[in-house]
Amino acid sequence: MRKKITAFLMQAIVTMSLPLCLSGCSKPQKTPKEIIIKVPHTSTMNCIANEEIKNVYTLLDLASKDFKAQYDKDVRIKVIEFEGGEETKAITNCFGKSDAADILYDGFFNMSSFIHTGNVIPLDDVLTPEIKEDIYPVFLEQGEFNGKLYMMPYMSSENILIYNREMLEEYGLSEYIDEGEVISEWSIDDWTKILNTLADGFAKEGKGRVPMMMYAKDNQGDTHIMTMLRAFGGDLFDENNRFDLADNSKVIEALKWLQNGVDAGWYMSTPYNKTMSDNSSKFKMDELAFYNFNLGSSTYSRVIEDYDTETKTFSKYGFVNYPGNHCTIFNEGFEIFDNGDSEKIEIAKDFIRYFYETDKWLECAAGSIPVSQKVMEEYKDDILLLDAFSQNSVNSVDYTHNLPNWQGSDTSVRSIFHQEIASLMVEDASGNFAVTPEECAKNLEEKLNAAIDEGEKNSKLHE
Amino acid sequence: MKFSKNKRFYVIFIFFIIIVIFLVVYVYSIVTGNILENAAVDNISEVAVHDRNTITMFIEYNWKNQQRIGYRLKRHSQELKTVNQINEYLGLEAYESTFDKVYLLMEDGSYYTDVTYRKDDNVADYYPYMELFEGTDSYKVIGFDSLPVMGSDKVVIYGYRLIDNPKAGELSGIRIGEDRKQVYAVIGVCRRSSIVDGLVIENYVDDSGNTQGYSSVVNESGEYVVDRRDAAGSGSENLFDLIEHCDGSELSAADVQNKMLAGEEFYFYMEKNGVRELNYCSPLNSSSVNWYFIMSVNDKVMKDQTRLFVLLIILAMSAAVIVIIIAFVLTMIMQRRTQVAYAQEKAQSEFLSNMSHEIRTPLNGIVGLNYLIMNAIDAPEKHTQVKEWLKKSQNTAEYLIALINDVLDISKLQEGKVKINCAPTLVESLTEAVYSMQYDNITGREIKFIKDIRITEPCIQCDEVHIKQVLMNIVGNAAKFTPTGGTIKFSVSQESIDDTHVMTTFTCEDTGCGMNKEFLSQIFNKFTQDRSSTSNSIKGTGLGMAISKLLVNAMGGEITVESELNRGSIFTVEIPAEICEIPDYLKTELPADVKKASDNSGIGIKPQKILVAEDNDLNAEILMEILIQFGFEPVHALNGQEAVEIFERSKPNEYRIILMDMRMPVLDGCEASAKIRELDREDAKTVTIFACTANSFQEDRERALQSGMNDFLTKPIDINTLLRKIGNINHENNK
Repeated sequence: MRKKITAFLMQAIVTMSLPLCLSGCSKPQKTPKEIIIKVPHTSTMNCIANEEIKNVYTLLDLASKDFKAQYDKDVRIKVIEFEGGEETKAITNCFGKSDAADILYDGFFNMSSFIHTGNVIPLDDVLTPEIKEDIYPVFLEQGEFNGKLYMMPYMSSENILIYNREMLEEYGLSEYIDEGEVISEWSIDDWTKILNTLADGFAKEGKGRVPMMMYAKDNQGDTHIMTMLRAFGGDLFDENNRFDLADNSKVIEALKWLQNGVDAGWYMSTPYNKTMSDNSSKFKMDELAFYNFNLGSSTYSRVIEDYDTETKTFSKYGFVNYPGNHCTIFNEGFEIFDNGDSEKIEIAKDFIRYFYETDKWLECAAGSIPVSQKVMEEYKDDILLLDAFSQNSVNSVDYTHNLPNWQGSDTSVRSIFHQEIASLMVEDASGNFAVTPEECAKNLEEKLNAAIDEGEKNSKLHE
Repeated sequence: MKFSKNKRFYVIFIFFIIIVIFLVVYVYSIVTGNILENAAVDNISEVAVHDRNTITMFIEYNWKNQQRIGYRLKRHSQELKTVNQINEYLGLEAYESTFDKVYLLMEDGSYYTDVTYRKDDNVADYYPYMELFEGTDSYKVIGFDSLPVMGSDKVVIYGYRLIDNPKAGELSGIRIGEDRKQVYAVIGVCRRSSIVDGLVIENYVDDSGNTQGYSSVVNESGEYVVDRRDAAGSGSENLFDLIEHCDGSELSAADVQNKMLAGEEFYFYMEKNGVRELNYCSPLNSSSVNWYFIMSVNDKVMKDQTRLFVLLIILAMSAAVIVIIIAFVLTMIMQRRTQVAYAQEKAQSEFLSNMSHEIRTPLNGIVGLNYLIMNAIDAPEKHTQVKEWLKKSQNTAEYLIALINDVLDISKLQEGKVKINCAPTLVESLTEAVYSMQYDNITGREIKFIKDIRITEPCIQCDEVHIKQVLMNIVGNAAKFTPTGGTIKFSVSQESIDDTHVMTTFTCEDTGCGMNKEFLSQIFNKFTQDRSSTSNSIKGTGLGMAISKLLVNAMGGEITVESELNRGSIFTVEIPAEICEIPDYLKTELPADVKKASDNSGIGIKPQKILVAEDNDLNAEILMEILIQFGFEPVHALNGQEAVEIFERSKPNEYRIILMDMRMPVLDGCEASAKIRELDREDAKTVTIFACTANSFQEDRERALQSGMNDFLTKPIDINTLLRKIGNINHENNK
């Protein structure tokens, strides 16, 4: 009897499943794996080898199409641009979702924080002997953490300042201008004199010209503005890799110097409400004397136009280190994320491997400083300011120390930094600033170190 | 799998119910699916209207914001002379407003930003914002993939015209700058991401938290002003181009455009890259723009919602069906068990009641008859009557014995303790025995009793005792249920099965009252008696036919019955058996109808001494008296020990037969028999010892034989059987 009941119930279940199948079952189809590559919209490049490639998005889009054509698996590769500085939205907020990045191309200073999320996989196995032999070791080391390679370098740039020499000449500051492919080194007194001279002159003109870039509305200032905190010398970090600012007289002095620039007319009005783009636009319109420069920047084309290849001199522009005689070096390259699909990870690794093994994609880095020795060898004569950058590298400072929580959320170092600098620049109708340099230094130290502590606390490396 | 008619009915019934239920569920799921889809569309329309109103409010708010900027500008216009002053003023406006940037477009096409002042002097960064206001006298909103001042960010630009705008009122004619040019329009710039973030449809997310829908805003030309898909780097497209180049659309681009021009609210499905989307289109309720809000939701969302609901319905219905089926089956099982238990209880109750009645009635009769006999024993004139009473008393006592034997039989059969003891049996003798045993009973009722023997094999290996028991029961029943003047035909025939086996068929055909079909179907069940009016007067234990069937089946045979009410019945007993030679001891077997014991010459029994070991005085007295009446010389031993001693003291062969009660004090029958066999005298080995016991179980029989006894007599001892067995012994001894 029990058998009969069991058989009967089984028949009933089979019967029951019939309408279920009729109502929704369909033959499963295997869809190709989709790899998402994300790149910030601001990743412009000046590719010598292929002048049509003006940004990294185009480069990766073309490379991914070629990769797909030669790959033995059926894959879909989607290259997505996100707005510059929006890594939190485009990367962090997408973890665990279908639009999570499998590959990220970005600056190392942006990507280093993601290593501590545990989602970035080591790339040592992508680094074949041939690839490893070709890349300058110094760049590989900058992509390593705890002895493992997490960020694959592609090209490198040195951040310095570009200036409009015509403005300096106009206001009798020619003595400070160096000719040729030279990165000038000015003292802080030189800087003060130059900026004050220009500010006074521009103010009298009333044409809206200003001498110095300054911005605190977006988070881009960690690279440039933070470097200016070293204007009076000294390091920003202590031996424990924590910000040492509150009792750092040189930093406080630098903050005071920068704050004085507001009233001195060095910057555009309301600098706390200006973005890096505002400054970029102002410089391009010849209304700003000093602005950031590297070989990947959007002013590169103007510089090239200004460059006399015969005399190797510039007529409109000159180059100088940040006040304090510092520069920063940053690498750009790739990270691969583990989104829980080992097959996608393997495809992503295959793509990176393919990219580095294919000369036509590797040589696109030339224009900036390529990490590939063979590309460097081939294009070294065509890379602008290469020797100057090389000689100037001794002035570079490590501005991130690969610390966790550098960026990626509203409480990251980058976000906190620009808000505190904004406070430093805000003044009321009576001309009183919202915070003093000392208060700013104290706030910065407390909040930035808290962000790093939080990052270290939550740090986990990919297993 | 075999099903009875009832089971088959239940199975068919349940399947019918299941099929009906699932047909209903299937139809219901389809209907529900459509309803749910419509409900999903309604839900989307609600969300769309909400988002549309949010965007409309956002736009309207920005207009008002620009109006406020205009009023403040009017108030401060006199102070705004240099570029720096205007840059700073606009920087503060941007800082305080919802816009990322605020520009002032001048009447000559030049414009101020918070950073610079640009005019059309062939500078690459100049943008002709004046073109934005072509075709409108008040507002303008447009999306840009990039704007020089905003770097590479995608932006939405809100233009509020101050000149020749009938709604601008007093804001017309504001002049600023050193050259005091008129401000043509206030331009607000928003990064598109700030709007896009507000357009994620949180209501439609999958299990991973991914949004399966997005909102867009298109203008009257189909150009995307805001497109959620910007985040995917796909760039803005034209809706109408998109429709024309998609994989399939319910509406053509022209249809969609016409509906938009007509200001209709509508939706349509469009498929692209394998993704089917519902596009809900709703016009923005803005006086400033003819834009359409479009909410696109992956068809998968609605299917998932529908499927989930239908799945839940089906699971719920399935669970209900399973519960119903289980409940039904359990109910059936319980009902069946209850019925069986009730039937058994009823039958046993009836049986006990019947047994009680059956036992009490003859006992009362015996007691009453004894009373009558005692009172009349000394009255010679009542001698005939006394004899009649004695005969009735005997019959009643025999009935009681039969009754108890039946109960014992059914008990043994129920426990599987009945052992079939096959031995060479003369079929004709067996038939004759039954016939003769029932002859007086039947003919005495004035019923014609016919015997018909047609056999081919005279001797077969079978259990004679049990066959007789069955046949006696059948023929006895026929006698009971056949009225006076009727006929009972008792016949036996044989049919060869193979060379060594034969099927012996006993048939008892009567012209009695017959049985109805209902009773006929239960005739072989235990505790069953026909209680119809025809047979109400008939007494019985109700076990006879059940015992008969069990016995016949145990012997490998079959018992069947055909009956027609008021016409009679035919019982057929088929016994398969091995054919055997007639053993010598059967060749001289006495006929079953043994004559009266007093006629010693007829049975060849010499008067001889028989040792009777019986502890019950009454039984001993009766047995001894009967033996005396039949010419024997019985000697009574009170227990087994005494029997051994008497035998030990006797002369050789003084006792040729010992009737040994099984259960006795001091020394029981088996022990006594064993001791006798162990005695060192010749006749100790040859004396025939009959085990006499009320127990007729096989193990008793085996125990008796193992102790050295020769045969077995069931109490109360049937004198005819005893005499026949004694006759056989004497016959053997005389050979």
